[in-house]
Amino acid sequence: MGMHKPIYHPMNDCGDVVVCINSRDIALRGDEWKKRAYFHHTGYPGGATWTLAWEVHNKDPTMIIKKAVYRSMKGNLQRRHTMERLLIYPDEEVPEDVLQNVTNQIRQLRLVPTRLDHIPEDEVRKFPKVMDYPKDYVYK
Amino acid sequence: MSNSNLFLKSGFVRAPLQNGVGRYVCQLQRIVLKFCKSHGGSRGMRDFIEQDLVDFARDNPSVVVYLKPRRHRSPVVVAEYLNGDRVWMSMQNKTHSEITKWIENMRTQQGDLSALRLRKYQYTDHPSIQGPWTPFTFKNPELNVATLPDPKFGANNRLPMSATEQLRMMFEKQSIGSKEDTEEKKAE
Amino acid sequence: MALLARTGVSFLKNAVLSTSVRTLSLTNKLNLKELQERKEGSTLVVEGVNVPSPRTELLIRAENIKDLVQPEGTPKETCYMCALGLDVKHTDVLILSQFVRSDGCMLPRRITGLCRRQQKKIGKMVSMAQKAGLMINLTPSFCKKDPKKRYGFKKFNSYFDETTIFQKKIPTPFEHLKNR
Repeated sequence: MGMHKPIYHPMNDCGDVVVCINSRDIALRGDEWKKRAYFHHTGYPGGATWTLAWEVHNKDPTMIIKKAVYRSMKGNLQRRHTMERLLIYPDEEVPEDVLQNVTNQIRQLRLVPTRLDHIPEDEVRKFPKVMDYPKDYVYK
Repeated sequence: MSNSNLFLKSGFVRAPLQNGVGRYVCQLQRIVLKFCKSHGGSRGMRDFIEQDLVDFARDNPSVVVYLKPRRHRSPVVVAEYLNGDRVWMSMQNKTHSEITKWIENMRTQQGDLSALRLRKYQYTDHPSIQGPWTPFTFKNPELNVATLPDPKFGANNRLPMSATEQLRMMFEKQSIGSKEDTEEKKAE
Repeated sequence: MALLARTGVSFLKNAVLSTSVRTLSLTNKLNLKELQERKEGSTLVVEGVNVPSPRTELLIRAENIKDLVQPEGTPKETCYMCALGLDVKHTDVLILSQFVRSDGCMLPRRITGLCRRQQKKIGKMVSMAQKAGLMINLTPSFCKKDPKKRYGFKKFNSYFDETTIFQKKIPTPFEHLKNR
């Protein structure tokens, strides 16, 4: 809604749009992929379903982010309208007209970890060592 | 915003012509007092007219005062202002002192202030030289030419140093320390 | 016929595996002895000397760093990792890979020389890094190397919270918010 802006007024529309990319590559903590379940009820008797997070993510890679944002907001009438301002894309392909209007970037919370096989071998060998093998160790 | 406000006049907070800074022009032009000579609802109004009205007219020579006795009607004050505003107010059952205060209020106000929807709560005669705030004020100008997404702007730069980096620094310290030790031994 | 084919396959497999999987070498790398000759009078002495491990040059110890040396009288740290006082996360693969065999298995405590607590902690963090697919070049040969090719929920990225290592009950995110 842009209520934090000095130019805010209820009669002007100055809220920001957030574009979220690479939602397919999100990371969940620990074993949340198989423990977290999303509940849905069709309204008919016996219509309750519990879908695990990894099944939801297989079906729709944008759904988990969408649900997380939706649940973090207050359940008022504004929520559906604010959700319209969130655009989620499963990979880096963003429509050109959306990408043109991007003016800033939100800093990520955690660093993306580097895999050991992506670090050059020489660097791994020269990295200072904490542990030394005992004298009679048979290297495997 | 409720529907009752739809036909409200809208305006801004401002002092017209800086009235009162150099000279004062009374904005009230004309005041009409209607009352009944017999009814109890007009009693306060009658008291006001008997005791204070002559003084009021003498003190404010620029205000035209009309008195309209209306048989069996409730008392009413209508004030008209320099900007064309017209304020109508019922004085039914009001006491003498209340009426004195209301009329004093009408004399000093600049127009129909109570029936004005303020579009903004701020007003300035000297707008900012820097310009109003926009989403781009105080932003890094490098963002104007950057192609986003860019890891330079997206990476978290507030995390504490990782253990890997710390270990690298420790190793440098250790090697520097050992070098110093050997030099000291040589010097001895 | 099928039986014959199967026996043929198994025979072949044995032949291949016996050469590829069996990597145990008789002259182990760190126990290499070097022959040194020297003369003492008229006798020739031949001696085997241990070769230093490639890690000794790069080794870090807290007692060699001036900033980390504790003043006299402070209680001694139980092991070298405690003395270094690093906040190791499961993403620090360059550190964790030192405690690991070539198949990604954590080394036992008599080899690592850690205290109990650190051994437990680093062992947990090694398994975290393996689950997150950060050390896929240090895995058994039968492992699907690329995490994206793993089955079911295992193919998606996950991260871990190191504060949960010594917690008996891992708080759910909701409880965590309530306590704040």
